[in-house]
Amino acid sequence: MTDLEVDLTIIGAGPTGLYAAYYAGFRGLSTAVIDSLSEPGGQVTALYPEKDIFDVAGFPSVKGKELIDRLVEQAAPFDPNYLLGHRADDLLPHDDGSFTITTSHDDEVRTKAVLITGGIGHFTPRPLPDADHYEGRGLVYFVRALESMRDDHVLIVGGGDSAVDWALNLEGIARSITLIHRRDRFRAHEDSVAKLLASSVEVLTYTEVATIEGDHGIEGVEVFDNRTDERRLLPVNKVVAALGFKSDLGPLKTWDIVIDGRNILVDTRMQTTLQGVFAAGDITEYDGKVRLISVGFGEAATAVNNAAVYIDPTARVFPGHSSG
Amino acid sequence: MSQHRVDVTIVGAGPAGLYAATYAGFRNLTVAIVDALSEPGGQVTALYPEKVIHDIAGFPAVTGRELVEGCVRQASAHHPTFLLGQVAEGFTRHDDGSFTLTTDHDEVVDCRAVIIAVGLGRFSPRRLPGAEPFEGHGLVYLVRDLETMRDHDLLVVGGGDSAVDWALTFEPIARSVTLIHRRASFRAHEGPLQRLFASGVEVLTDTEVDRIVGDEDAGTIEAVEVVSTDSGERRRLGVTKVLAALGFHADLGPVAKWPLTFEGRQLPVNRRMETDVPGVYAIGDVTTYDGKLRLVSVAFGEAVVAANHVAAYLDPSVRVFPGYQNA
Repeated sequence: MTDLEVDLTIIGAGPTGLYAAYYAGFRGLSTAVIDSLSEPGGQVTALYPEKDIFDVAGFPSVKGKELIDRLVEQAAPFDPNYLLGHRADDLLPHDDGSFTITTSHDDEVRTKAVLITGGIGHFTPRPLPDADHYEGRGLVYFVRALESMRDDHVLIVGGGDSAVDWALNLEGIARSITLIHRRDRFRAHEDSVAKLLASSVEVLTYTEVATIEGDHGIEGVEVFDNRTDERRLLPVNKVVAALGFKSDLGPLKTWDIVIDGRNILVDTRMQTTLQGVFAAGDITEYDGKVRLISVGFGEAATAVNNAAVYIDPTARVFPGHSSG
Repeated sequence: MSQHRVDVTIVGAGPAGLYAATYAGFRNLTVAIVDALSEPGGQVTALYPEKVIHDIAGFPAVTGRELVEGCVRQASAHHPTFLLGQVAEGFTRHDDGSFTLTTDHDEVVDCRAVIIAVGLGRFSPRRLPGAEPFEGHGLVYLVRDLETMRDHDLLVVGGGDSAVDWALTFEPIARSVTLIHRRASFRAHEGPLQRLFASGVEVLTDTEVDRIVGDEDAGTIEAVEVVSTDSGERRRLGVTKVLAALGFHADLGPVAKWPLTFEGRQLPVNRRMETDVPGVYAIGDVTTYDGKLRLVSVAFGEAVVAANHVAAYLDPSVRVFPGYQNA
């Protein structure tokens, strides 16, 4: 059991949490960064390390893994205390406004303020029904390495940004790409959908998976039109089911903060309903909230700078008041 | 005169405005960007193109110029109409909720939404008193080319982020760097301050410029006499360049007269980044709300929020996020 004492504890080592660790260091705050995953990067590392990301400001294009590497490098000069593979279990507020966080390894972190950057919480992919037999035999829920699909005939199932982005990223690597979606409306950026429709990807709407064929690996997938029930066999050997994720906030649900569904309510300072506990990124909720990586970065900077004032009320929100 | 018709007009081509243009492009909106400066990048390009910035997410170190180049490339992928070197002057909101903006070059832009990203407005540096003969020669207020300080003995005047960052930037380039500040406490981030005190920069607090010594006709500097604000003690610094980073005067220009509710020089916005006029959004340094931080990374986040809400405002059948699109 470690007894760690820091100014700010950041829960969640995704992009938002990593940037918060950088910003806290920049403000002269010591940090602990807790994440239940064993590597930093959150959703990005776990789900799409090789995907090109186009919507990080200043980067016309950056791979997920590269973005995470750069964020870790950015925070590194300030030596955050990483507690990876730890889940933050309990939050105990003290009378002096500080907190003790206990992790799943029974480590205790005494901290003057808390910043929750837990993203979508613990997440597991939504499974393709009746297909578990093919998991690891051609069926995947996310693509960790694009090269694993080289020269394959790939079927992508789904209509969200992930499905559309995978289809576009695999062009030129896979031999053929077919994308099926059970509706004709995509839950994806308009620009990406336009690129998809202009690409060589075969797009079949109102189409769902009927059965996967093959004894060991995948030899083909029978799909059907959900309006006409017309069936068709697609000669593919890989299936990417990008059907979204089930997520769970885990122990955070028991903390003394107001949670709306799966999200934490915050004010414009990014403070939760509990003084001294801040939140940023996908996990937060307020009127007009947009769940995108750049918004998480901005919220992280706002949260850390306001937390700095909570920690030291004589500090200024901006730009920080120090004595030479 | 030429006439443009777009979905959204962005006033201000600084990082926030450029990134709003990028995101509006992702949402398939047509965009015009107006800026009084002839180059994109706003404050960053005008004031510190060569300064190394450390607080942009994902960039451990990037110069202002590189950041702006990245933002311009991102925005340009969606082909916005750039109206640079022109001041957005006229602002009319029509009964149907659409807008007409006019510039001082008589360009007319019809649009259905407006994003105001004018930052602090047009800015001019606060000048060092009594030093006119040296301005633009030995004395500068910002540095566009770092090499101009190579092998000089440099005096940086000021106690804000800008002064500290300049001193650190020039430490490896100039022969020597001295920083003077008239107070004991700095208005700068703790991290850079710690680096400053660990660096080879000589820091003199409670010290101000008394007199610049040099050739007033040529504008060249031989030395600067400084005085302690505490003891009145004088000292002669053998420097050949002075960089006065005393902050800037800012002026919003015609935007301040538009029929929007300002608080001082700031526009209060809600969390959708809406001003009090429907269809008019504001982002970046010009905005205010409780807990507001005037940082580039916050402005980027605000740009994304505004652009996505503009998309939903213009077409209520699309979602704020992530946008449903018919095949």
